[in-house]
Amino acid sequence: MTKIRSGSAPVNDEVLLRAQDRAYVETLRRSSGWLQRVLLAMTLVGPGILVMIADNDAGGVITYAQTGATYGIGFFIPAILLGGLIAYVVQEMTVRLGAVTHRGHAEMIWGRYGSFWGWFSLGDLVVANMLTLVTEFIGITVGMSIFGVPPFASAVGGLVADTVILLFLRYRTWERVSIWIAGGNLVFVPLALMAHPHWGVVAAAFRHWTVPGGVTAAFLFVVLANFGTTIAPWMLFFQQSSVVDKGLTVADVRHGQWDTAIGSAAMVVVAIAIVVLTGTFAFGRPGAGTYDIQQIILVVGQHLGRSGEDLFALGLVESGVLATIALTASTSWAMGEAFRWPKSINMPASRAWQFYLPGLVSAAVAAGIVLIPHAPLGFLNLTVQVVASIFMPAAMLFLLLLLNDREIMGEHVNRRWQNVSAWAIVGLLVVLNGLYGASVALPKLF
Amino acid sequence: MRQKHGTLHIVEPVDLEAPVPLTRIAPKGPIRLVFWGLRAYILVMLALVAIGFARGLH
Repeated sequence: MTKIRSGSAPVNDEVLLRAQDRAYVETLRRSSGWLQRVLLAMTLVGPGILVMIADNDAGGVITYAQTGATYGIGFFIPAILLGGLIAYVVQEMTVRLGAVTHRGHAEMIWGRYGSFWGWFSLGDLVVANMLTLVTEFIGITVGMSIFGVPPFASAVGGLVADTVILLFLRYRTWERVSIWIAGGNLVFVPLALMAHPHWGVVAAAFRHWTVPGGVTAAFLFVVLANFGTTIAPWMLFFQQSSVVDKGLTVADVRHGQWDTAIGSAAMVVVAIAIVVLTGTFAFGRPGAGTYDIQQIILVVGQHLGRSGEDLFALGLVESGVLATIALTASTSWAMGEAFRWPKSINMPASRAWQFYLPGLVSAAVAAGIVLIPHAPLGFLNLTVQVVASIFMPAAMLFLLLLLNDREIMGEHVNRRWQNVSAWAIVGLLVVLNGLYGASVALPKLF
Repeated sequence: MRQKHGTLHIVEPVDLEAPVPLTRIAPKGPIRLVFWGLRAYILVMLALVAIGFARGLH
C-alpha cells in the first residue's frame, strides 16, 4: 500500500490516513467477538515489538556474541534478564507519554525545557544514531560477506532497502514490513538449541551469580556495553514518535504496554540465545576474549557446518537492516519534531522531504564510512554502546521529569513504584558509569 | 486503500488526538539543581571516556 498522493487536493493526506486507521480501531473496539479482539490487538501492537527487537541490532549481536565468547554463560544471562525488565520499565513510560501528549520526545524536551536541552538531546541523538548506523552497516556487510557479496554491494543494497521502505510505504505498512523483518531475529534461538548447551550451566548462572575473572576495567567496559545495547536513548525517541505517528490514544495504553512486554521478552530470549551459543562454542578457547565477529562466525561454522554459519550471518544482516530502518526513522522524527517540519511516515516524500532527508543522509554517510579501508570498526562498535549508556541517564532524567509533570500527564503520571524503579535504573547507570570512570582515573583500583 | 468488509460502524470523532498544549517551564528548586548536576555529570563522563580511549582501554 502506498502513500496517498492527492496532487492539488486540499485534503491533509496523513490526517486522512490516520483517521481511517483510527476508525478501523474504533470499529474493532466496539465489537465483542474474539476475532475482533485478536485483530484489535494485532492492529495496536507494533512500536514496542519493533523497538525491542531493533535493539538487538548488529552492534548488539556483536556485543552479546563477544560477551559469550569472553565470559561464557555465567554472569551475563541473569544480567540480560535484568536488562529486559529495565528496558520494559523505561519504554513503557514512552508509550504513556506519547499516547497522552501526542507529541514526540524531542518535541517535548524542546517545548518544555527550552532550546539548550533541546539542542543537547537532538545533537546527542543524531550523533549517537549516526555512530550506531555505522555498526548496523558493519553487520550487514560482514554478514553478507559470508554469502560472497562484496561490501560495496551489501552496503548499497541495505541503504536502498532502507530508503524504499521509508519513502514509499505509509506508516502502517512500514510498521508491518519492519515487524516481518524483525521475525528474522529469532534465527538465533534455533542456533542456540543446535549448540546443545549444558542447561545445567545456564541454570547455575542464576544460582551463583559471580563475576568471572573479577571486576576489572575491561569487565566494566563490557558491562557498560551490554547495558548500552539493552537500553539506549534512541529507543525513547523512537517508540514515543512511533506511538504518535501510529495515532495511539490513552485508550490504547494497555495494548501498548503488552506490545512493549512482548518485545522485551523477545529481546531477552534472543540475547540469551546469542550468549549461550558463543558461550558454548567459543568460551574457553585460546584468545576467545579477543575474537571479532568474523572469527565467531567461523567458530559457529566449525561446530554447526555451513548452515549454522549461514544462519548466524543471516541473523546479523537482519539485525542490521531492521535497526537501520528504526534509526533512520528515529532521526527523521526527532528532526521533524525539533524544527516543526511536517513529520509522518504517512506523508509522501514530495511534501515532507525535510523530514525524510536527515535520516536518509545519516544512513548514507554511515554506509560510506563502513566502506573506508581499515576504519577501526570494532572499536567504533564498543564506543557506540558506551557513549549511549553515558548519555542514557540524561535521557532518563527528562523522561522522568515529563512523566511526573501533572500539567501534561494528568492522571497518567508515574505511580510510586514506577518512579522508584526508574530512579533505581538511573542510579544503576550512574554507578556503573562512575565505576568505569574510577577505573580510568585510578587504573590500579581494580 | 483498504477495502472495508462487513458492517460499517459510525464512530464518534476520536477526541484525544490533538497534541497537548506545551509551555516552557523555568526550572526551580530541586529541578534546577538536578539540571546543574546533569551538566556536571555529562562533562565529567565525557572527560573520563576521552581519557579512557586515549589510554586504549577497550
